[in-house]
Amino acid sequence: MKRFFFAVSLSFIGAIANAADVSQASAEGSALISVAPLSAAVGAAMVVSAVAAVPVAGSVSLVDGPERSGCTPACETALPIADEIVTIRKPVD
Amino acid sequence: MRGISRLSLLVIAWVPLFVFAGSHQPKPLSMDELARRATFAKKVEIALAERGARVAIVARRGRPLEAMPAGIRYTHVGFALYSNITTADGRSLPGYAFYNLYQNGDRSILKTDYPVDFFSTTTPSPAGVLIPEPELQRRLITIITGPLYRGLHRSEYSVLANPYDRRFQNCTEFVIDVITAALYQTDDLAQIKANERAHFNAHRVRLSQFKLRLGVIFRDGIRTSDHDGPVYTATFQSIENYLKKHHALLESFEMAPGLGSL
Repeated sequence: MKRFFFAVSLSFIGAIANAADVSQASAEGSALISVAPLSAAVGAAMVVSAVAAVPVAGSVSLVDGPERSGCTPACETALPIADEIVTIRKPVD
Repeated sequence: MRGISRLSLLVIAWVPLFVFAGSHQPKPLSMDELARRATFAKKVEIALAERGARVAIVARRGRPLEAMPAGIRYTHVGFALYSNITTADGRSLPGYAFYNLYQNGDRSILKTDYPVDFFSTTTPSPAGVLIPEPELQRRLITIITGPLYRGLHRSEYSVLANPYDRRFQNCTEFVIDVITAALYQTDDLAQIKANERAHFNAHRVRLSQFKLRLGVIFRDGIRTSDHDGPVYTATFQSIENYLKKHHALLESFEMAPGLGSL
């Protein structure tokens, strides 16, 4: 199986995005993109860093949830969410 | 020959009417477009997480609302499950995985993807969200992560699948089959269909017979042999009504790209 990794750096302000250092490919058409959160230091500017790779098979599993803890969503507050954005898509440019 | 060309143009102009319930996997996008879709997808993901949703039913629309048949707001519906997602480099990330039935010609496949994949439609899509009551969430988790999920899939696809009939299935019918299995705690498809006939109100699709016949001839995935008379199919709205009828809907909302909650 071929594996290709790519790194993408994007800097954009508002709706304008400028791509730089883009390279990607995957024999399985799979990619993982990591997106950094908005930086308070730079105000509206956001830096997006992306790395593509082949996801590990069986890569989804349940977090301990109501079926295991006996708790329900109603007894929880917000669930944590990663800043990274996961995708199986190949970005093209 | 010229007559045939005119007929072809007519068909090309009309067949998009039939994609309203299509469940195609989105096509590749440019990095700019993907970045914009990613921003919106993350907002949807955060909205689900803020509400503590372990499972949600999420819809997208891959074309302008004005191009949709009356009463239909979305083109694709799937389940979002709060999950641990293991990345290729071995990290474990908390987020939502989307469980979809996607069209592949006259057949369909089940595929898991992620919010940015789900919302990477050519036309920026709003999100329709249904958060079930906790007990239904618990039952849906059991089904979606178990063998019944695949057991309820029928790969013969029709955009206009009749939810009261077993022959064909589209994404919305698959979702309603999974929900019915959870509501009535049954894995018997005959029982599921009986309950849907009794309690689920499908949406009547008002298209002329001429357009329907053109669609059947020229488009993959459009079949009407499971309908006896008027065409009825499952929609996001009819799923919402079904949950309300069973007092199983905790919350519903819509989000538009760039606008947040509607």
